[in-house]
Amino acid sequence: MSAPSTGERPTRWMIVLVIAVATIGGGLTRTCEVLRNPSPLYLWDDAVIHLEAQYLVSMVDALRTARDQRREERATGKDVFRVEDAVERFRREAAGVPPTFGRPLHDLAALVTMEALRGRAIAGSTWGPLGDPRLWAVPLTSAIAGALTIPLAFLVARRLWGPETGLRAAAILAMSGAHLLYSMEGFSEALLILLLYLALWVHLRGRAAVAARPDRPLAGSLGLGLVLGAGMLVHFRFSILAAVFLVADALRAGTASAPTEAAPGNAPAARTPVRLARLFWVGVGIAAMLALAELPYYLLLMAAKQRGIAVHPKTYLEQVLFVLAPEGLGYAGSLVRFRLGNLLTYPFALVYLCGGVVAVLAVLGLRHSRSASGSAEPRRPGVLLVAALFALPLAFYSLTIPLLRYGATSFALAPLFAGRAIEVIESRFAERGRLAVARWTGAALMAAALVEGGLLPLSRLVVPNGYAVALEHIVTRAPSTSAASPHLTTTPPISWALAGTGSTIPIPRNESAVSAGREAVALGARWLVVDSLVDFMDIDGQGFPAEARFLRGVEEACRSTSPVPNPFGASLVHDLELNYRPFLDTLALHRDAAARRADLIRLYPLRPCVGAPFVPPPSPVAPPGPRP
Amino acid sequence: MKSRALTAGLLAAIMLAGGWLRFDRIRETSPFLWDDAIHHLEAVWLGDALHFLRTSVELKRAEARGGGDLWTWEGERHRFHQTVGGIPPRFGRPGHMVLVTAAMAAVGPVPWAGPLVAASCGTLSIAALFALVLGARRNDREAPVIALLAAAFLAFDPLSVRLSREGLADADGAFFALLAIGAYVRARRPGMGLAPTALAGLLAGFSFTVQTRNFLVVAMLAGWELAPGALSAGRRVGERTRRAATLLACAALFPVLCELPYYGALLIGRAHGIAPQVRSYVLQVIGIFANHHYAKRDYVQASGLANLASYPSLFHSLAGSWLPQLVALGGLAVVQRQALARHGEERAARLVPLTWLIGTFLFLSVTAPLGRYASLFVPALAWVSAEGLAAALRRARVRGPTPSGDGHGHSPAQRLFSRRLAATWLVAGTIALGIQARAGALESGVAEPGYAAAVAWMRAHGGPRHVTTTPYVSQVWAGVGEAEFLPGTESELAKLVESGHRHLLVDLIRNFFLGPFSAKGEVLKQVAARCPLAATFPNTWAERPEYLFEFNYDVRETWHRIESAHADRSGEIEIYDLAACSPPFAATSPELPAEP
Repeated sequence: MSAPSTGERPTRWMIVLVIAVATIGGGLTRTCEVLRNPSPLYLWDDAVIHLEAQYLVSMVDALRTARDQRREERATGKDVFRVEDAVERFRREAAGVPPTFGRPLHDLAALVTMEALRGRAIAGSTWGPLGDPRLWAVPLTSAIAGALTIPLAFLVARRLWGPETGLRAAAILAMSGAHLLYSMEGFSEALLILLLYLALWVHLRGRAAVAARPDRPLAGSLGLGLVLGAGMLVHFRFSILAAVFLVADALRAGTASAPTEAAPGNAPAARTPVRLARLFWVGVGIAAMLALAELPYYLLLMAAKQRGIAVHPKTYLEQVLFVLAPEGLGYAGSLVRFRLGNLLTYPFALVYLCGGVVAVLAVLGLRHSRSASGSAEPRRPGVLLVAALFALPLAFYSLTIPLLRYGATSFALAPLFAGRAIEVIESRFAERGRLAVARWTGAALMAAALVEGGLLPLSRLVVPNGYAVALEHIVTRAPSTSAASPHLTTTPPISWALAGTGSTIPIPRNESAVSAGREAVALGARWLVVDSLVDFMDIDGQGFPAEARFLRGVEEACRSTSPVPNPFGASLVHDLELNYRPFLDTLALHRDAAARRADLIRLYPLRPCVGAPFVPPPSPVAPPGPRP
Repeated sequence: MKSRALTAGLLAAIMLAGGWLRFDRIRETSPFLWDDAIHHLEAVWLGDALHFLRTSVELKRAEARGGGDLWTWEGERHRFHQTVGGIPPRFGRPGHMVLVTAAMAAVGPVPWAGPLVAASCGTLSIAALFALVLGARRNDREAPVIALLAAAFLAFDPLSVRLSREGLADADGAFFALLAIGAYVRARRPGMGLAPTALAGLLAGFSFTVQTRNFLVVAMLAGWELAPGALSAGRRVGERTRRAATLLACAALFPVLCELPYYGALLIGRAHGIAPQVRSYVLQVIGIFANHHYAKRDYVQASGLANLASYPSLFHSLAGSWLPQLVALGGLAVVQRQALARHGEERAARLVPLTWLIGTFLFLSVTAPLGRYASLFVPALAWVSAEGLAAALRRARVRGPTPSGDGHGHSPAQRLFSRRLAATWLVAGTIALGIQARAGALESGVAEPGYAAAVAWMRAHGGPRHVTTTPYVSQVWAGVGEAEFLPGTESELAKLVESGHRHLLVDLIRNFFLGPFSAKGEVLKQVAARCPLAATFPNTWAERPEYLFEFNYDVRETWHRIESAHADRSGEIEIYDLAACSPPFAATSPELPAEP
């Protein structure tokens, strides 16, 4: 039922071969790029996920130790194990930070990767943290998720438009600049994209199952709910995509064709009770996954209550309430500050990350996604959902906070539409009997999409950072070699990940905090680490203006020694990831990167400044916190 | 249409009769065992707590409207302790607690609120069993007759009538179990999706929150779903597994919902630096299973197979004859024969009551065959009895050889005669069973517990504060802070006397101060030797055999107790005057040697 073909349909072996090459090649590209990076953590979120996974590793280690001690106790009869001692030891020795970001599934995936990397060698550096391969665990998790997405893209596109489009979409995704970028970083986006494709595949399978067995209209709904719930456990932002799926499920009857023109896989119109039942089961799946995330906390709290031990980590639902609810309020606040120019963010980003060819093809494919206009092709079930998943998040975030990574799931769907566009163009030529032209045009467009959409952007997307060098600089000049001197920094999580959670001192926020900061200096804090983030801490009085003023005060009073190159801080990706300003202002700021010294991490020795007359103006605002 | 109306009319008549047996003089009933007293006190607590919450919200609103500093955490905590009576949930049966609380909301916190729930559920159980049998035998023309007979057997069953007049969680537990099994039987029909199975799971889960013992119902439903062979209803392994998983997942929903308030309270308490001391629902359930008789192998090992005689003995005590059990045995044989002779859905319909009855009977007999536990299989017993009686009626209708040799083709006169005979059977049997049950119910009414009178007497003679062998029942009548469980040492008893506990109430429980409680038995002996007996009250339920089966862990001991009940003065409540003991109990008196 696909568009007129330009030749023979791909055989099963050909499909397997192409998908295997795309998956393995794409996976290797992503993994190699991650491993080539000497300092794999360079923004706030990836460092926090690393720290949370570290904490879970400590917990696993503590449980292993407890298990061994219990075994020893049983074998020897000696009183080796006491719960209170084990808890105290864990509190003393645990690395990282307890999960606070409401992303338990990402933490869990990073934990599994960390455990797999334990004892392996990756980098040649001799400096402590860089000698530990587990520092690469979080971006490697993204790389693995990115590689696994490629065959899923094929499966989804095959169900939508057939195997040829599936192969094209998988190949374009494998080399897509946006997907490569988020498969090499430690953000949650690669996992989100994987689960989005998985949810799409489950949804489309469910539709086909209902079409095959109309007496089982609930087929696949629970599975879809479980996948959507899993996505929300990776990042609660997935709930927007889940809402699109739910609306699509609720409206499925409206999207279905009349029985006379029903296409394969197109379910008959559902009655309202059946739609409600489907929504119910999808909801059950989502709730089950959220409950699953809360369960360990419940067990921990109950066990601690029984033992009379006080435990403090926020439970998953508390994290959702206290971390993510404020984020939701932040979106509402951003709506008030909306500027028309923000609507340009994602079109610009699509071209910048995926290349102009893929961007144009994606728009063309979107236009002809349901059926080629003027053709007798039947309408494709499920295509409208993919289009909604592509467009709605972009529209939502353009109106609220158009950060680059928020568009990642939409960018990852662009290869599907690009593949579709190539198919439509080929079919147009084929319809006119110009098979050779069709074949060559398709091949040329594919080549352009792969080269211009992936290989070329890759060079400007992979930008090194200088955090490891900066931290190494501090540590190697510390009086004790055990850890970095306590320091003040604009990005504490990166310092915690590289130099330990006790390595930083919070930036003073008011007069008393300044006194505390000076006291900390007197106690041994030697450095202030300032990167390009300082330019994003005060945006029209929003964010962290007091901290920004404090940092600028220090910068004026002290003299930076040996600044460390940090090209990432001056990159457009960096600035777009912090696109809290109106988009055009962000672009202007980016053009000004060299003047801002954004490409440097400045290190200020604090001790010479202790007596210097800098008094930043007091302002009682919250400390800089992680932006989920 | 006519036969439907007749069936509905007969069912209504049976329900009316059953309801009359259950509701008659319901206001005279009250808690007299530990469990029903605990349920009563828990329901009082929940009712008071809900009232407290309502007033607290009103107070907060008044404060928000500008009424000053009316609402503080500390103040509300204090007010909670002052205004909320009863005892917080501890028995892992929140479903029953909620039902009793609802009854209390309707009729007030009266002692018969629990029995009212039991009577309502007991009466509705008759209709539920009717619907269940009808659902299981849907293609059978005899189904309405069998369903009516089953309903009649259950309506007039002495144990069902008794449990429907008590505040235990067994009558409502059995009712929701019947609903779950009924839903499941319908879910087994060919072509049914997962939704009916999910409904059965939900009902089974709710029945578990009413009565923890109903884990057997959940296990039974899952077992039927997973069972191969005749019970599999022709479904493949994968489908059966999926359905069983759905059933179990849905069965978990209500128990999980019951845990949520505790978890919420824990989180809110943690945020405010308060550690709630109440055991959560799951911990209550774990405690019940960890401490329960199922977990105590000693009982099983001590009693051996002798306990298999428990329930036959109990039913004989209740009915006063072996006839109902013979009918049930005949029914079992009939159902078993029918199951062997049929296939597919019809065979499964016979296997359901068979496995339900035999499975639960055997499990309970070899673990803890307490009288009330039989509520789980009494409906199955009624069902198979109905099958047996229906088979007898069938034989009565088909009398002698026929021209075709298969029993069909009787003359109209023969048919009239056989129908009359059948009707006579039905009416006579129903009347006989009704009279028998009515006699039992009347006797239950006569066997009134004497706790209310005993506490009233103490209230008039120095105050209600007392020491007791049955604390929760005493607390129902005297108040939670006014009755303390008999301690295990004389010095503790002396402290209680000094704090104003004037009397000691002794009831049947004194005969059960064994094992870890034997120190209390020693203290009791001291009291009996040194303190004057101030009053006695009749407590006749406690010497009746069917009630002594409520303590039946070893049937041989129970038989012995039944024989010696009168001599042991089990049917009396004794009140000792602790203030007039000679020598008096002193806090410094030598301790009794500790139990090994």
